Amino acid sequence: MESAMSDMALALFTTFSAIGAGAFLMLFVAFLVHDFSDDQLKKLDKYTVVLVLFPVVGLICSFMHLANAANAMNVINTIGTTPLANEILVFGIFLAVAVIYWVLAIAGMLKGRTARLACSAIVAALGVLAVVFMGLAYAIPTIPTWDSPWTTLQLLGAMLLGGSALTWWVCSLVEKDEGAAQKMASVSRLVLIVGAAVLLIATVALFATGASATSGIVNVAQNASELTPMLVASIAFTVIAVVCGFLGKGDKRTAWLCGAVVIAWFAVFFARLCFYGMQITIGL
Amino acid sequence: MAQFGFYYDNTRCTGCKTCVMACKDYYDSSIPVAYRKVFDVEGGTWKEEENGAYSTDAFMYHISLACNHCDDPACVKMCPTTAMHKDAADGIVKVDVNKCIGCGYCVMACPYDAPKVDRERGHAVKCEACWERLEAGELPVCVSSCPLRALDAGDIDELKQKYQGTQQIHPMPDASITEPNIVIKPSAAAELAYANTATVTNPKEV
Amino acid sequence: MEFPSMSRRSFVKTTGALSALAVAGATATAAGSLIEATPALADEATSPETDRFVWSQCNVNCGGRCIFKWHVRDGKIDYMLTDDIGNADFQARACLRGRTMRQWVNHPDRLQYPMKRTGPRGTGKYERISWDEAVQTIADKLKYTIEKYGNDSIYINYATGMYSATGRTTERLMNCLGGYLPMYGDYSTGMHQYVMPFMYGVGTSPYENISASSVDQAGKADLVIMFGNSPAETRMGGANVVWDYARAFEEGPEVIQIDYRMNEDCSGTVDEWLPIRTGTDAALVAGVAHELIKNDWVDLDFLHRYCQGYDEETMPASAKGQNKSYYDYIMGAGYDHIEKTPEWAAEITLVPAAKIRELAKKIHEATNTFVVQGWGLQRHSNGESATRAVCMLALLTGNLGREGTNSGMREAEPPGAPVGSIPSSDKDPNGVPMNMVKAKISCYSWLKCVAEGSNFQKELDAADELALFMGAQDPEAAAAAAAIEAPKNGIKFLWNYAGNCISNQHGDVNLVYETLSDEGKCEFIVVVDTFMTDSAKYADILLPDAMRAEQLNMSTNGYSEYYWGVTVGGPAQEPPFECRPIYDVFADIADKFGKKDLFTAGKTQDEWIKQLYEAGAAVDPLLPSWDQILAQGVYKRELPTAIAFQKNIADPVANPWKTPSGKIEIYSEALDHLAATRTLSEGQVIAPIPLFDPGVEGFGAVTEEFPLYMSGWHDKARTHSSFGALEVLREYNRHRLWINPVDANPRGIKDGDKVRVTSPAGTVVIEAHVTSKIVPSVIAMPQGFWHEANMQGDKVDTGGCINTLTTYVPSPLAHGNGPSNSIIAQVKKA
Repeated sequence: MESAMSDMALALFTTFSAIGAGAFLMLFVAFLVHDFSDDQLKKLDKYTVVLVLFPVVGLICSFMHLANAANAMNVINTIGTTPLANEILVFGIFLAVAVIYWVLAIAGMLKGRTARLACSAIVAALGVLAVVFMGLAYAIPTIPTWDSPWTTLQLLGAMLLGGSALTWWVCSLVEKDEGAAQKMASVSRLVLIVGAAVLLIATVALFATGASATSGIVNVAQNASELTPMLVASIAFTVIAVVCGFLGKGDKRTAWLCGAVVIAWFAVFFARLCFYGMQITIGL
Repeated sequence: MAQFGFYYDNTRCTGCKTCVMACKDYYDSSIPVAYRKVFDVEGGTWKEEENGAYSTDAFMYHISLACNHCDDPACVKMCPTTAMHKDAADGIVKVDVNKCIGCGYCVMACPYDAPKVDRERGHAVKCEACWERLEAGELPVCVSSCPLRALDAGDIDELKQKYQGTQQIHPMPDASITEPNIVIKPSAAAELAYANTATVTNPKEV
Repeated sequence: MEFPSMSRRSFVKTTGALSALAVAGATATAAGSLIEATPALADEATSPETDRFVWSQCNVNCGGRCIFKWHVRDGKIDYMLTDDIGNADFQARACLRGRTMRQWVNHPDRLQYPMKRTGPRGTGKYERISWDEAVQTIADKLKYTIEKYGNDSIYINYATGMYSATGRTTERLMNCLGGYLPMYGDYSTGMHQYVMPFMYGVGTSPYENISASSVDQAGKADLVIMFGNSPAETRMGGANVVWDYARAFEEGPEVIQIDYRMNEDCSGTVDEWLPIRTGTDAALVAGVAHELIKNDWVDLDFLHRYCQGYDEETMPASAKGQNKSYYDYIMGAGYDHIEKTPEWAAEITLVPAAKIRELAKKIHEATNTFVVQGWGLQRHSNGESATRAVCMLALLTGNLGREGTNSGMREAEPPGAPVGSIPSSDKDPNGVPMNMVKAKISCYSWLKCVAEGSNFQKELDAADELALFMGAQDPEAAAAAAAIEAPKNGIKFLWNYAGNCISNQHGDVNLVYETLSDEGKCEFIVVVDTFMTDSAKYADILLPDAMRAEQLNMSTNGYSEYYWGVTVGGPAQEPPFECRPIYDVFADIADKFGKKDLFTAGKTQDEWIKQLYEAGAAVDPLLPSWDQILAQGVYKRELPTAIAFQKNIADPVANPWKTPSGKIEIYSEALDHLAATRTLSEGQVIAPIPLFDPGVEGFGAVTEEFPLYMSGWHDKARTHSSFGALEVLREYNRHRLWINPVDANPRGIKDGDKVRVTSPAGTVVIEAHVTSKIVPSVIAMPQGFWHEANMQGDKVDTGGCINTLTTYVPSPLAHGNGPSNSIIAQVKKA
């Protein structure tokens, strides 16, 4: 429980960042499956600031976690050799490119479908890569409860669940014609479900690993029981987020989808707390 | 010396934590920060006997650990800035405070709970073997503070010659993972067949 | 060459990083003589501050007096080292607490200026006053009290927070003013020191090396039996008993720890802890004695030659033919007529009968058995009997007077010290006279004396009782004992210097609050301390003390460090704010009576130190000169080993025990006499032999409301309540109640849960530690944590002071603090 709380800044960082990356992935998908009008695109580009804010807030949280952000440039020293440096690099590039994309977009320089698809694809790819590296950064050999594919899968699930909800909501603010947005809705719902499933399964798997670990210093049973409410919350919020996505129809569509975003955020956040709470090393 | 290491006599140690406090005072550490830690380890159960009496196989010991200046330190491996590094001359693992960002990966990675992030100072901190005292021909503060003379320090090969011991007692991790430079004389309690059922009972103090 | 003291002028100009501790108006002590003696230092003011080391010692009551080597930079201590002189095996290395002394000295909560109470007693509400007003008020109150009630109404409370050659001068001040009500005994060994003279003779004390062996003798034994003795927690420090035992144990004896908890001396050992229910050690001894007797393993020659009362053969005339011998007790022919079989003992002690038989066999098979007890066992309501019972294990098998043996008392302490302290009276007839008050009370009776006032009955110490009993053998002593009176008006004026025994360290804190709330009873209380301790909250005038690091300090070997030594050094930094050395404060008070020169004998504190040191050096040629000790700071010398009663055992005719019979009295007629003549409260027992007495709130006293036995122990995080203000020690030694899973599980209590502990006296809230390190049916928490409660509200103590739970029933013989470890309680999840 204590390790969960002491890593609060990291939980926030990974929550905001994974969802933000997912949102940009789904933005690319949105451009793929939906034909926005010029007016809609203008609006969408403005609202994209919300998408940008997610990794920005994530970055701020990550800096809050650091005891001395001023030395951050030294991370360059181990690019290629340490997973954390790689993560910082890729995330940094993703964030920069996302900002550039947004600036270009509101400046009206993304003219034409190809340009838009290409640029948003690059951001999307970088976002996915950032999330993958974020997961790999926790593949620490001396922490067996983290050192498994479930760690990265949890973040990918978070990315898909939160990202689909966020982008879908933003698009719903722009595209009022529900009928026209059928494809968008179908894809979003699909990704929502897949993301939820992956997040759920990975979180449960991480929890189970931590609950069955042997440790000479962590009271594994007590730790698991203290984290159980968070696990339950995460599962519940995951399911509710999906339900909100499916209930997102009609007049209250944007409200439901907004609800899905908020609830998905909490689903991810509690899942992350479960992750950090299960930090059990091979020794002390 | 080629590689610095500690000797720890687990048979003499009473878990008094003088080593912890001596170091904290010397380095003016804030309350939550300690370069050396004392783990309280205990185990055993109780059995009711005749006449309402009880018997027990309870046991208890302590482990005083600072940093083991490992041959293959987990902290150095995970550090993204190379702030955490092993000194080429004497193998002491130190923090380059001009590079450290205080990300806490060393803290997570170390299976001996050695480094900490001192938020007041703005970087990771850890036992650095009192290297300035070593250069002046003195022993680390913890070693000369111990009222039980349960600690020694110096070249690890010399320590291995002088003392017989092991590199791990429960619940320290398998020594093959980071190759800690420590020689421990285990107490009888630590050598019990069922010592691996013991747990650390003061996690909030380490 | 290192200069241990600094010029005060050079202090004044420093700024220092810790600007909060401003050097306020030179409340200087002796700026004079020492500077003249070493003129090289006098001009420090003009040279830049450099790093320097200043020698000092820890001043708390643990027996250590470990040596500090303050590193001072720019007039401020920046870190500490410890004794690093000479052989690494003979260094008085400070323990974890000593290593935090810098944080005590520089603590932001230190009392800064004199204060006057503004709220009710015990609530800690004060306002600042000037030193002038404080001194005048105290002087006026003293005058008034002496005139109205007499000097015997002025009491100097037992207090042990500050040891130093010049630190405790309250007695001297009062002797300048006509005297004070003296006390006997102490909180450490009250019951033990009172009763042991009845067994081992007048002069037997826990504080010498005749009636007990030094620890190294344990290394020469093949079996060591420790009863409730944990030097790893009570005698910490590098030249202290913990180190002595560590080395003795490495000589290879089998060591058996008999304790209700797995104390830190069991650390790393296995099969050497015999868990026992608290307060039942005498029953265990009886069970073992039974086996020794039944198997003919007792040393009859020894018992007949050296002891009175083992069996009928050596009973005194007054008790002959009445089945009152120890043998009769054990075998069931007398007293309670119960045979003390191991099965009988198992039910009481929780030690399996098989283990009791095994223990007897081990004692029988060992060539030399070293039997020793700590002082926790006697600090029980049955302590006066239990403490003698432990000694029986040595006596029954003749394990006394030779290498590898001990009397059963605690390990020997060094005989004195190389130098003395400021005396409470002077030999010079023109100097301070001795205390002229004819009354005397037990150190633990002061609260009763306050409450009962003129109804308080007189109290005699052990020497007085024995003198009266032996009468003609020493008529002068008997006459002196007969002349002892009760104080006429109870206690009207209470001094409390550097101690916490008004409330925190005294039984039944809630009762203390009730009693002292009546300002008509104890009319005036002066407390001098460095923190707002719980006791300080009862002060009418509260004064801020300067600490040892802030003065020239001389202190000697600890009372339990088995070596001789003296350390002279300091100050390392200036006293902060308006803190003043108590010596100077008392000189000011004496001045109000025109007795300043009498009190000071014309000397500053620093001059006293020099004189005391040179007096010691004059009779001990091995001591360095004054200039040398100033330069080197520390002098130490190892002492030869001691074997308990070696001379007496070698020649009991030439060296008899100073008992009425001249022998070791297993059966004491004097105690039998007191059993008949003393007034006892319910459940209290005085017995002529060391039998098992359950004690008040002892075995069998648990009820449905309070179903658990409870005890305390001395924790490494504090020395009693000293260091209690230091958060760092609390963070690394969490204050927890120990409870066995057998008792915790039915109550749904898990490790780390907050729990409520209630006793007949009060309620405490504390964190629980569910552990196998404590015997079932017993819960325990360390003593000395600071009481924290709303005394005008629910009085629930969230600080975890064990004395919220102890009752106040002074012990039958010593009128001592027996209840400390006799508590019945209940615990529930909070």
